[in-house]
Amino acid sequence: MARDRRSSAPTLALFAALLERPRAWQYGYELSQLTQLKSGTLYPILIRLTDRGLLESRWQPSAEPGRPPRHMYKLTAAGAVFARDEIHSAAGSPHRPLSGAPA
Amino acid sequence: MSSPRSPSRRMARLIARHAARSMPPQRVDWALAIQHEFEHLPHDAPALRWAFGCLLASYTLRMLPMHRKLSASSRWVLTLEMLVCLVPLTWLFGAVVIAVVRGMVPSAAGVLFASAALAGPVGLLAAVRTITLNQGTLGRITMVVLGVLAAWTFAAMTWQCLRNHTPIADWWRDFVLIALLPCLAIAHLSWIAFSREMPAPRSPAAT
Repeated sequence: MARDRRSSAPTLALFAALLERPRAWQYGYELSQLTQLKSGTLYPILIRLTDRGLLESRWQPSAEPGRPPRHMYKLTAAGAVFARDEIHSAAGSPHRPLSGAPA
Repeated sequence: MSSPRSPSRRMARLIARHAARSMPPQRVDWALAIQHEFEHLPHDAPALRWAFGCLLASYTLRMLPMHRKLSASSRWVLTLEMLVCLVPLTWLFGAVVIAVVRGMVPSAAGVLFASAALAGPVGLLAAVRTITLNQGTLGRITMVVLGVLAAWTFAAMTWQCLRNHTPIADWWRDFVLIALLPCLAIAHLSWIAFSREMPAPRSPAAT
């Protein structure tokens, strides 16, 4: 996939969280807790990655009665390759921490 | 688990619903995702923070398409805006450099004054790049440099006006033209660059 710039620190933190369990579906609040990203930062990134075909999403019916279904996310095959590539590139750069703190 | 009827939870729910309603129509699935996720948060304080974050995300996604692409007409308006805002400071920068080169101003004072006017030519170059690149963006380093230069210009020129007891009638020239308008122009360029980085809405996605 062509890209014109490197991923931001919050995006890299999200990639790292998703790659820890690449086959598992994870929900938004869980990803927020893993990455320490606020929802206002997390959702625009999720939307952007989904638009680019790097992330797939699905609705999961809630196990608790009376609760609405949840939106779950995981990397696509292309997204996993891209995420690993971005994290490796960032690891080679001294100024690109993988923490969830906004850059 | 806190009570779903607590005042804090009710306020958070109102904010989350408003955030979902504020999402662009093309993002209806994401609006539902935000709203449904909120209903699963166990405690009031995280729920309130989550709701405010969702509101910020919704407003950002709602506003971005307005700035994403410059039409032909808006490009002309932006060109005019940048010329009005940045040419006076650029002209001042040139005048200071010439004065220093000719020895009319002490070098140290000249360099200091030139640095306070540097936002003019640098901002003008960034504006040319923004106007000519329809979809490209300024780099983050460029935006940071512009922000620092604009802040320095604003602080130095304001201090200059206050120190010299500039008559209020002359502030339009010494403050508005030289400090305020360049900073606003740079803020606008930064906003355009920021908005071009964000995702564009697409037709309703099947998820």
